[in-house]
Amino acid sequence: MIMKKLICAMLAGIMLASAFSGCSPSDTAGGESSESGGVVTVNFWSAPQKVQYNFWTAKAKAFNETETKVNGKTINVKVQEMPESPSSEAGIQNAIVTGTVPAASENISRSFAATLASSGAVYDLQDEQWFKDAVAAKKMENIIAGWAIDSKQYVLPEYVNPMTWQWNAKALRALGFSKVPQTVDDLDAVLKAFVSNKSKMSEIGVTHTLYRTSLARNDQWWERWYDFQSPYMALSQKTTWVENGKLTLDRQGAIDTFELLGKFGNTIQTNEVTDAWTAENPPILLSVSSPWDIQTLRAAGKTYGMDGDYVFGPSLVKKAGDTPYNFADSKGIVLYKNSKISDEQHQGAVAFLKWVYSSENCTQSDVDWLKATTMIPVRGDISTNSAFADQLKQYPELKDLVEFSKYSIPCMASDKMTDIQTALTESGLSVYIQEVLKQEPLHAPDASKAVDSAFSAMKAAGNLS
Amino acid sequence: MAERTNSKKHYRDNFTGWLLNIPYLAYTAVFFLIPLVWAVWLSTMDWNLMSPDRTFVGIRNFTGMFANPKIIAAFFNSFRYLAPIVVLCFLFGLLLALLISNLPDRIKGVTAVLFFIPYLTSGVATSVVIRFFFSYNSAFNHFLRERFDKDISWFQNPTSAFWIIIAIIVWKMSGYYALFLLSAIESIEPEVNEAAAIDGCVGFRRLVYITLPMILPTITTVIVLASGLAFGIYTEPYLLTGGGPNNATTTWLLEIYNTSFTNFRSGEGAAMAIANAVQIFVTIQLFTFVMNKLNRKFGV
Repeated sequence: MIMKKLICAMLAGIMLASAFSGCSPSDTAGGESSESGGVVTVNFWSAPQKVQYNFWTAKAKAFNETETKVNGKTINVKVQEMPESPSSEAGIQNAIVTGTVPAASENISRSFAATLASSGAVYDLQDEQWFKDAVAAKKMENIIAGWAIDSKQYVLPEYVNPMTWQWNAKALRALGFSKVPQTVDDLDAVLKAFVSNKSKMSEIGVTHTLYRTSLARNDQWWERWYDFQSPYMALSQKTTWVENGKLTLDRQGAIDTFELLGKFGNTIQTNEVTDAWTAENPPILLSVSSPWDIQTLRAAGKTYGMDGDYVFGPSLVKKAGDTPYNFADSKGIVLYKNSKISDEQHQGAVAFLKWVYSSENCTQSDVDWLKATTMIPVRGDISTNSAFADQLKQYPELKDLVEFSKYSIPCMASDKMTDIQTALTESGLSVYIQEVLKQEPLHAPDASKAVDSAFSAMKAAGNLS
Repeated sequence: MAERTNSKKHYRDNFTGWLLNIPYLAYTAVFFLIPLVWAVWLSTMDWNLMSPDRTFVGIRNFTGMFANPKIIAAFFNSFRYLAPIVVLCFLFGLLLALLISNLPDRIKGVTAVLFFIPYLTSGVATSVVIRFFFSYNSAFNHFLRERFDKDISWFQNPTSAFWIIIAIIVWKMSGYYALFLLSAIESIEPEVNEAAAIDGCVGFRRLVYITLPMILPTITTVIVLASGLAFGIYTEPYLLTGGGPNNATTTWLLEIYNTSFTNFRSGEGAAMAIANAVQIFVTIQLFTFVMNKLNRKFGV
């Protein structure tokens, strides 16, 4: 009988252990402190992209070889890709809640940083000497103000993708244009030529003008950065969206932006096209630019430039001479504040970033970044610093993007950004686009009603005045 | 004396039973009971999980749902999904089961497994293939444009988007439910069918008067499981439509995900999850009640 009880107890124990075997935390927050070995392990999360992970792993390896010490203990930086599912932001949220957040991570937008800052989950870097040194080393003195959140700095800017327009150069040439459109009038001329040369366009496979599936999807709020904010910044000449709890969006600028998209009428392609830019004959005239696809396009044999297959153009401005501001698809690095991250781990993360962006290593780090990712590092001297010249010569695409990046504006610093952009989509742009899709090109419907409706919805969604 | 021995035996049997149930009870407590209590608590808070500050808002997260058109759409969409999913999964499952049951024994097992494979396929993979199939430059759409001059935006039309999602789920689940029904059909004694045949009850009549009544308990299981399925749709609308157009394909899970992990309103997300659970509970109870009535009336 005792034996039976013993077997039952063992079985129960084994079942219990099996059921909970997956519950032990895979890692501790920030890293691990090993007193005996005198080593402090510091966790750093890279974006869930192989190229970025490789870059940071290489930097961590080089840093670890310096055997930098904090409080007599050697810092060992360990790089991991941040969780991608369901989203990197949700992965960070989960890590903060469960106490497994790293000491530092990249891939943080200004807006998400605002959410983290309002939650007290990240350090204010403004008064840190190493941060000031990094800003100076990257010549970002004029750029950094655009990254402020409530007059404080929480993010060390890392890269910027200026979001502008990507044109089918072959189609532009076939329509008789030798220069990429710069103004709204230029766009009108291209659309006019497109309408009167539809059969000629069909011959080279171009069936639509603007390729933009997200205009038909209410859930993709983040796409408003690219198809609304970017042209809006140029058409309103950099009028902000939200500031100090107030909706500062310029009504006329918003109407102009809606109507700019409205000009494309029923030639907007809102259906998915699987190989829009890599097809032998791209079926579209333009799309929002995708700088991260440069390597893919090269691999597909596409050449860049007005005499090639595709070309990046600036944000369209109202009149020649206006500044072509655009949206900066940009991310940066933050240091997490959490009770599970020890002071030594925090200091270790600071030491690592200080080393990567020190005056000696900063330029090389940014050159390495550009080579690894073909995304433009945020710095004030990229077009004049000879260290980047080879890379920009090799990639004329990047050279143009670097020019556009001078006018790039990061996303709004509001923890209500998703609500605000969702409201703009659902109450304004989406409703308007349904009307647009019934119209011929160059007959943009009046957008004032849709814009007013979007303004009310955005104020309500973001508790804005 | 005998009473005391019986009592001891009863205690021993109970002890062993409880001992062996400890893993399940612990598992239930950790993964169901504690999260449920925590979700109820969270639903009364205005909190993004990250901030040390949280505000008690009572039932505001629940009352706020009535003013949210997406939640209202998710509520009604659950029933819109429910009806075709239950009916089609049952009908296709039954059809497959009947076809397989009439196959020779040596290929029966393999065929059943073949129809079960869609159930094992990842929803993400299926959705990607479907997205490609209905993309503008797919062979299918090329064919429609060239032959019929039809240029259809499949995912921008509420009706077609809705039915594509239904089709994916029915394709995926029918083979799974067919296994349940097949096993029930196979368990009907051959003598019963032979006796029915002697009385002239064959073909469709045999299906209606013999097979269906005899497998009614399994049909109940299939219908209850399929109705629960309608409340758990997430991957397909997330990847194909984002819940649109005009909230026509949105679901509870999609809205819970967006509220909790995109907008970081975890308290509201928890309230929505509880409302969803209540809807599932009431609906499943209703289905079980109706099916039990049917079982009592027509079951064998």
